[in-house]
Amino acid sequence: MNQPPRLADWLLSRVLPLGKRGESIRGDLREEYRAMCGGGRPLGLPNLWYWHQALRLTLRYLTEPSRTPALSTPRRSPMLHDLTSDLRSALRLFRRTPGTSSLIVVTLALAIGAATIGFAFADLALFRGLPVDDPSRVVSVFAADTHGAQSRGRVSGPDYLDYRDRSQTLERVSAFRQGRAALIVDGHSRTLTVSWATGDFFRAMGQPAVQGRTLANADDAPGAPPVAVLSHRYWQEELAGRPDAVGRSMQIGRANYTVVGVVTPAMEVGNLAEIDVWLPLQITAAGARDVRDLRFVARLRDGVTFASAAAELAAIGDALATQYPESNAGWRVRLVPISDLMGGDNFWVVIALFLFSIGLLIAIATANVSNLVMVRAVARQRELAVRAALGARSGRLVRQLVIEGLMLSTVAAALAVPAAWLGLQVIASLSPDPVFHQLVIDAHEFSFVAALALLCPLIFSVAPARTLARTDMRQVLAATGSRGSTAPMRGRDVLVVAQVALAVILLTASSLALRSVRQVFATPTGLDTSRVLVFTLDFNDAQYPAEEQSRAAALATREALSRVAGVDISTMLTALPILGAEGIAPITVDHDVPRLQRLLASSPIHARRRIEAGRDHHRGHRRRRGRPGPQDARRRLVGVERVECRRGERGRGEPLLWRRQRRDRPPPDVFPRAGLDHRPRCRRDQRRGRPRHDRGRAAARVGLDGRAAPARDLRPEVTGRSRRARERGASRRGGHRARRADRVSRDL
Amino acid sequence: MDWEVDVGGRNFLGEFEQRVLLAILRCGDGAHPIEVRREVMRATGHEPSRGAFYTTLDRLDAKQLVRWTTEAGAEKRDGLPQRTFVVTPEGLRALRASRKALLELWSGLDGILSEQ
Repeated sequence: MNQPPRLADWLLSRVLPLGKRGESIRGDLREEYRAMCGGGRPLGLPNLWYWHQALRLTLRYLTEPSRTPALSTPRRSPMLHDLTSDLRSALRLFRRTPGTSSLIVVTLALAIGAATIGFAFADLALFRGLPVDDPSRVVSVFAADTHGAQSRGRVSGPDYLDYRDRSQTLERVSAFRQGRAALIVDGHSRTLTVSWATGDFFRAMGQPAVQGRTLANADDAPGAPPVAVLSHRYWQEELAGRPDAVGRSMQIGRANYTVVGVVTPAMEVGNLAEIDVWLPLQITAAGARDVRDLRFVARLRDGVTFASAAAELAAIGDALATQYPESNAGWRVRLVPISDLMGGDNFWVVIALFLFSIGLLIAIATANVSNLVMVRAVARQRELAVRAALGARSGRLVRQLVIEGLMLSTVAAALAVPAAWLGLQVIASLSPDPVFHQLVIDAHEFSFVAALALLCPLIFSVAPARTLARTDMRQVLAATGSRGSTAPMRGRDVLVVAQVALAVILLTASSLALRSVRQVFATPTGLDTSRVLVFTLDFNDAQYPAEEQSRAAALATREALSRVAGVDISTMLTALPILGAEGIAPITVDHDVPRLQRLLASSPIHARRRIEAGRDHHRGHRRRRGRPGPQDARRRLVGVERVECRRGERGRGEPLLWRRQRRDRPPPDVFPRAGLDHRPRCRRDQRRGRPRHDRGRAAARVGLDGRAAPARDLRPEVTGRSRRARERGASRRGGHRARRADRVSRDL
Repeated sequence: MDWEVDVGGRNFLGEFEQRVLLAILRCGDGAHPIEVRREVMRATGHEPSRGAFYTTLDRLDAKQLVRWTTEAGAEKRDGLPQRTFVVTPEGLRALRASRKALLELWSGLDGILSEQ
């Protein structure tokens, strides 16, 4: 026998009167339904008919006021009835005091919205985690020097091969590194952010392809046909998500790569979101062991604990240090769960402070709202006293206050979500940093807002409820007038004090944070960045496979720059001071061990940069120790510079090495093209038409359409978004000028 | 309000209420809701909505103009009970009063309302 739609029948059972009255109506409907089914009609029609009747009856019985209260059992429980009554009372109160209610709602909405924006940052850092399947089994391997200067160093290619081959506790051992490469389209090139990864990388991360396949083990073998995997973002933005992208050919550098797949968008977290294309990484054992440039991830084998894997890797690291003392002595290996990779070792402190400030913000808002609610409760004392006189218990009155607050906070939460979304959009539009574009409002943020919407009324209803409980209702009723008694409100005073105290704490913390930021930017770095133009070039492996080629290109560029009128000195280095250096390696100074020991004792951190011989003074650096090396010294230390700031010396009125600057020549007005093209790095600067000062930075970068700008006026950071926007803009303008490099080659 | 049983000693019936009461009478002993509604539909040519029909039955019940008994439902009703309606003496009195009032109003208007 055919059964009517269960959901419709359930709906009727909830709406129709209880008892035989409702059951008989449902019985009538079923009888007619079965009569329709028996007529040989398709089953869909009776079902549709049943739904139609159920909905019409529901509408009728919901809108029809109950005229027979005595004939039917009360449908709603007393609790539900009271709640409904309280909600109606809250709605009436909202209409009666629209000003106060709106003020409460707006205050709460702004506070919850701001807290949600803050939570979105914390959520991204803490809860979303890395794009890894079963992260408890995935580890990252770091090289750490025994001096403690480098706790999360990268791993060299030969070391990676040794760890991979010798380890019995790890599987899917993979490595990757990030860089840039030139995509050649119709004779023009554009810079792509590329990650070179070994074939096991995606299997180690547990991330599939949404189109085609990811990299495979055979792809990183010597002689394997070059293949590329696109990031989902690149596929969507540049190829409009076309399904025929797989199988197409891309010329990257001088090789043609075949696109074999598109990786899942779940990979686009953190700096992985900047990657356009994934290419296979081929590693040979013949590489240098002191060039540590690979990130290293692996998966624990089944049944292997983290501790046993760490012990095994440490043993392998010790063996390598013994086997290769020149490159591996003083280095040990460190295993870190990949779930701990977000941020740094002390990142939790930042997040804790962040969450603390969110808590303060909410506390201030609730204290403010509590004050307003208390004022309103005082104004309603007579009404509440009458209810108490009629038999309402104090719990019932408190519940009414809480429900009124709940209604207000619910409305505020509904407004806070779009407010937070709007705030995130504004932040993302103001800052090109990719992390701001990864902030979203989803189930996590909705849950956070809901939790606040439930929590806030409980907090800001406490004080009015306590006041209410202590008030003598007889006095209130006996008092003349409709405003109730004017008894002193100690709770309100406490609230005001708490609110002011919290506000002072938050303002003090904020001003201190702002002051710290200003001081960081104003701190003398010992570098004179005036009249210095900095730009980056990328002589990458893909475009310049031979070391000689990249060196020749770099030298030709430098010579072309030197011939430009107004250019005093042009030189090259691998990384800007303070902004970071790659390739941390043991320092050897002329085999003079005592001198090295003195050097290390004087400063815990030394960074090595390869600087052209004799040209290290161009940026206002003074060489502290070491000596210039020959110009062609490729892997030899040519100097040791202290990266730390020399604050004391600038206070004497003469900045470091200013006297070495030639002030008789004006700064160049026009940047030499020399086959280069630059545009502003920061869209914000471009849009506002005013420079951004980064006085605390060691240098800035030139980025102009043929114009030069003082180094201090430009942001040093280059973000993926601005870079992509720049490159897209260049493409729109024809793309013929858009080839530049963004980094000085490591191999200079 | 129209569910007051007696206001000023007189019962007031709406038009649809009259139709339902008359249909119950015409169905006799088998005045189940389905049959009563079908009878209303047959006599008037208009299919009343089930919502209006059942709420009218409830209203007549509240006015004590009808009463109902239940019997166990058949298999085609999945055992759900079936009601049988009868018009109470008050219902009959209300119908008579309504008829009388209507005839009173109709009388003398034949010349105007008679169909040509």
